[in-house]
Amino acid sequence: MAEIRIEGLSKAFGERSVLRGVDLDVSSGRLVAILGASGSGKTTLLRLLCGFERADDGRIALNRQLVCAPGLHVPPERRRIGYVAQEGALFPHLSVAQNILFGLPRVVRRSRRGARAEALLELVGLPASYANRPPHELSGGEQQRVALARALAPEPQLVLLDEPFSSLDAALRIGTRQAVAAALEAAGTTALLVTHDQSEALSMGHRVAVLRQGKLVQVACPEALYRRPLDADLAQFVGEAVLLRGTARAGHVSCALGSLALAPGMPEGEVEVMLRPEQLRLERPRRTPGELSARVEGVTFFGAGASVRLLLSTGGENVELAARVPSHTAPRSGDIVTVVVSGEVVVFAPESRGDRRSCLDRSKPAG
Amino acid sequence: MAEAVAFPPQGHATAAPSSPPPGLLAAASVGALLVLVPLVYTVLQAAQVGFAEAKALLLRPLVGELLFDTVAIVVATTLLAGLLGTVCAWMVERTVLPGRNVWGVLAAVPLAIPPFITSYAWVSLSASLQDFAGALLVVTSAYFPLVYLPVAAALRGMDPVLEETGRSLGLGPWRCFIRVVLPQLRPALLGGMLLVALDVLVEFGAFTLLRFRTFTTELYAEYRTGFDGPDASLLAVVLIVLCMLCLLAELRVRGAARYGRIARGTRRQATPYALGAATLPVLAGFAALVVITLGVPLGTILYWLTQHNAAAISPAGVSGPLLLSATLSSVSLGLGAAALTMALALPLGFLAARYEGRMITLLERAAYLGQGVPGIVVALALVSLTARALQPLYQSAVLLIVAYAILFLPLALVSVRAAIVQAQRGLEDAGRSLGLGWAAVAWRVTLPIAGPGLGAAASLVFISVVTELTATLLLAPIGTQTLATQVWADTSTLAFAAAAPYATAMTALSLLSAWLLARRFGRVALLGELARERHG
Repeated sequence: MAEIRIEGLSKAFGERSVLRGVDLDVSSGRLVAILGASGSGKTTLLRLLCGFERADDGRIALNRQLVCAPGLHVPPERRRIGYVAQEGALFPHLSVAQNILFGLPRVVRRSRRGARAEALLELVGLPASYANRPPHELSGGEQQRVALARALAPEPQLVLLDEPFSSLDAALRIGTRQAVAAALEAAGTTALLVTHDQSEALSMGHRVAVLRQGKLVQVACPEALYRRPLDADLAQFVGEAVLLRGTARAGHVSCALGSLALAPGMPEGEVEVMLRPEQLRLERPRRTPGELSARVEGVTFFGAGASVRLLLSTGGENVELAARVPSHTAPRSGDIVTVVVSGEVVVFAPESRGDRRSCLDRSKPAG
Repeated sequence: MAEAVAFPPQGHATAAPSSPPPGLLAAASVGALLVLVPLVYTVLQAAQVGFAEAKALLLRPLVGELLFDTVAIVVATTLLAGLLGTVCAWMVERTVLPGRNVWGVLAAVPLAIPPFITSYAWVSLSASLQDFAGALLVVTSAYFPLVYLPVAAALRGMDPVLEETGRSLGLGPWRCFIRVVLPQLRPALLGGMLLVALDVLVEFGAFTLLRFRTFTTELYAEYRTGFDGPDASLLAVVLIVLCMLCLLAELRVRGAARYGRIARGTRRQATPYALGAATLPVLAGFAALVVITLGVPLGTILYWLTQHNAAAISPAGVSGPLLLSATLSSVSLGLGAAALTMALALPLGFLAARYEGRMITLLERAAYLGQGVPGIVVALALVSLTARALQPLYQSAVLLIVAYAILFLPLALVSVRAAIVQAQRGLEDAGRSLGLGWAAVAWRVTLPIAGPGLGAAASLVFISVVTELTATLLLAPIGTQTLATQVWADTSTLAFAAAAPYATAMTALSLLSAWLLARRFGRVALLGELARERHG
């Protein structure tokens, strides 16, 4: 099992620069999710790692062995990197077992055929009876699991997963994700998962690296990324966010929601305040002085939770807010509620708004 | 999903009315039954031969020799064309070969040159080519595009992710080609090779000029010398059996290709391989191929065209009026045949695209069966049939046009059916619901959508007729000269210079029509269609 070290990796297609100096370290046995909107360069990063494309600049080392550097390009078949493509890419002319054993030497394929394939099927949570089926008889999720078994069979140093769940429907996706995560854990393989789905990245990655316009903007554990994103765009990309103007001083920030406790290490002065909708608690108005009352403008029901749009009037100013509450506690449209903030909030220095327009794909549904 | 709901795919029982109008069924049956006439007649003729006599006739050393020679040339050509076509397709589609688009077109063009013209060019260069190797050279260079085109299309359509996965599992480029790419190419490659086999089996002109004997050339020879019906019919049945074997194998390969396709979604362009030091040798190879398949045939014809004073023995001086009248009869026969073939193919194609049922499947299969009946057999059967039973039709232009329609109905049917499938029923229903009558819908909805496909079908028939030799030779009315019969008359008496103007006119007509068609309907679509069916 390998550690990966990526330094200054760059790639352009013609005039279009796709990766611009990416640095990333992944320690052995971990799963790192690369999260990015479409066009952020995440697939290119993966293809450079596999060796399907040549980098323009930068280095890649697997277990301290260079596979990519200026003037050096180790071909894909000699990198020992397993690859699971978007739709599995099972060979249609081979059975499930033949697919799984495809990358093994002929001797092994011939002699230990049954046992090995069955062990790998079991690893990815499929019954041994699947061995002789043709791939097209399997569901999308099962095909993905076979593709993972095939990638793991030659005991690769590293497994790369290219949006492996994006073609599955919602019901299959969660089960397949769990099966894949369990198999990777059991095999102890280092893995990189490329995805545009925030919840997938946050739930599967030991660490999440966010790629934006060819650069890694933040690499952190899922919780840190969600709680303390580096800028407002990132905050909105990894989840739903409430953004307000405020003034920060001495561990507190004052804004439309009053004076709120700051997370440690935040800038001071004129700032942008960010909190998550689930940090807003809605209570029945008690008509005590100083409480924040807001009018419910609309409620969207999601099942377990509900999203509540609020209009807060303070000091003659109307501020729109979004809150996320358990659905059984959701108010009704037109209700007047009291808003209570729980937990610390994050603030961003105003310059972080600089490249807002051009950043992440906003059309993605948040959270 | 949304489209699938809006327009249910054709051919589903829910979408198609249960039974077709009887008039349509009757009209469609005409074409299908007509195609069966020569086949049934030949088999019936052969059945008249007693068992013992048949055994004696078939176990002659001549038949054994013919069988050996025919099978040998078919197998050798098929293998060589398979190799050549695959290598060319891979080089054009998957490497950074300089000028690959031009090479790609040049590798397809030989299909538009009639093989007997290629043969004439080579024979006029050197008589030493009149052996197995020469025959192999000529027919391979004429027919390898039948492999090249489908394999190139398959390579283009193949999801590169399969190859990449193979590489990531530790396979080098060469082993990856063998274990991943080649299995995916199998349907296209085998399908193309079987088409080559079928075409070589029925090739007449090229082999006769090369003095290479196969079942097809022997059938013609027997007709010229004896006109012994049952005896010839027996040989014809052997040839039909060989053809049917190829046809059945081809249908199986194509049927199997529909299974096991699990790739979905959008595809990336594959990263082409760098050729490095191999660039120059590969370029030289392509240049040699183009010289052999196009340069020699076209160059030789042009050379003979300039030899006015007959370096070769010239039985008939070239005369302008004769050239003009031959061209006119070729063109008018082509137009007449295209019209009749379309008239037969339209109801059949409409029926096959819009309705379901065992009867309809049967009619469609019967029409496709025509592909397995060689032109020489069709022509001989029609000669014999009209000579015995339908004297007024014997050696008439009408009979020749009917023969063309029988030969090229399967070819037209493929395009006609595809064109009508494109004009989906749901669109017609939308037209009807907007207040149009069926005639108005046909004029304003169906025709504009299906029109280009129908035009392509008619043009393909026209091209095929203009370059057709076998049936023309046997069935042309006395006194009617076409370009094909003129080339034939002159070349078979070694009057190469005399043949040149007709050969030029014919090749130009074929290339021009193919070019116009390609411009209108796309290069690959056209040549792919042309590849579907070519009777020598």
